[in-house]
Amino acid sequence: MKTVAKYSPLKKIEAFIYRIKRKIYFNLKMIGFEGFIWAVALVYLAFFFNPAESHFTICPLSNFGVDDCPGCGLGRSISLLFSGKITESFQTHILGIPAVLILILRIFSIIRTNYSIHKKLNSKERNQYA
Amino acid sequence: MPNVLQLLPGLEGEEMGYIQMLVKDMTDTQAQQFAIAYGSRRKDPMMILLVCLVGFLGFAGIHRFILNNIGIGILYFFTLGLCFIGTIVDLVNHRKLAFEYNSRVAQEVSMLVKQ
Repeated sequence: MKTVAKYSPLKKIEAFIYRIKRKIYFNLKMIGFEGFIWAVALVYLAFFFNPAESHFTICPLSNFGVDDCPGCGLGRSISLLFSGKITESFQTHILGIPAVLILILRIFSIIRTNYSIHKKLNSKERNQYA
Repeated sequence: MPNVLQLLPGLEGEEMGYIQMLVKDMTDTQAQQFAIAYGSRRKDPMMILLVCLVGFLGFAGIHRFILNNIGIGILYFFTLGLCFIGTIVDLVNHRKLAFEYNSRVAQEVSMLVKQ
């Protein structure tokens, strides 16, 4: 069916939005719940977290008044590492530098496993209808 | 065609679909072999959930060692499960974690069986 409406800009924009939506949904499915949490945590520590003026914390230990909670030390250490202070980061928590590497490797391994599962399941559907 | 419900009746949801897909193009003896090997090697999500709950007593990350994620296990163990937040995330996510491990095991076992 060749009509003029097919080439209207509105339809093109709609199709574009649909494609973007599909892509975002697919990427979220690949990265999974756990990988999403790690990625958000790393981005937050890298760009938005400021150890000097943190009033709000979700850590239950420091909410109960324990000052040197090891998990919070790790967060401070990672944020120092992203701002370039490597020796201070090492002094704050020894695991700071390995933690970043471990989390990034973990995110990639999650994506790899999810992608292989997705490929397998989709090849099954193709075989069914072929 | 071998049926996953007869071979491994304990499976649920996502895992069942995945195993059915692997088992589909095996012969009956191969499927029998696969079911025995996979059934003894897979990790039960309920077991992962219970071991994950131990994290609230101070020994976090044992389930990660069981699931072969040594790096994250060390990280959890020395930081009280990332201030208990990591433990809570894994409580929510325990099925997916177990399935991730089990899918890798199933792949391995099916390779061995099909030889």
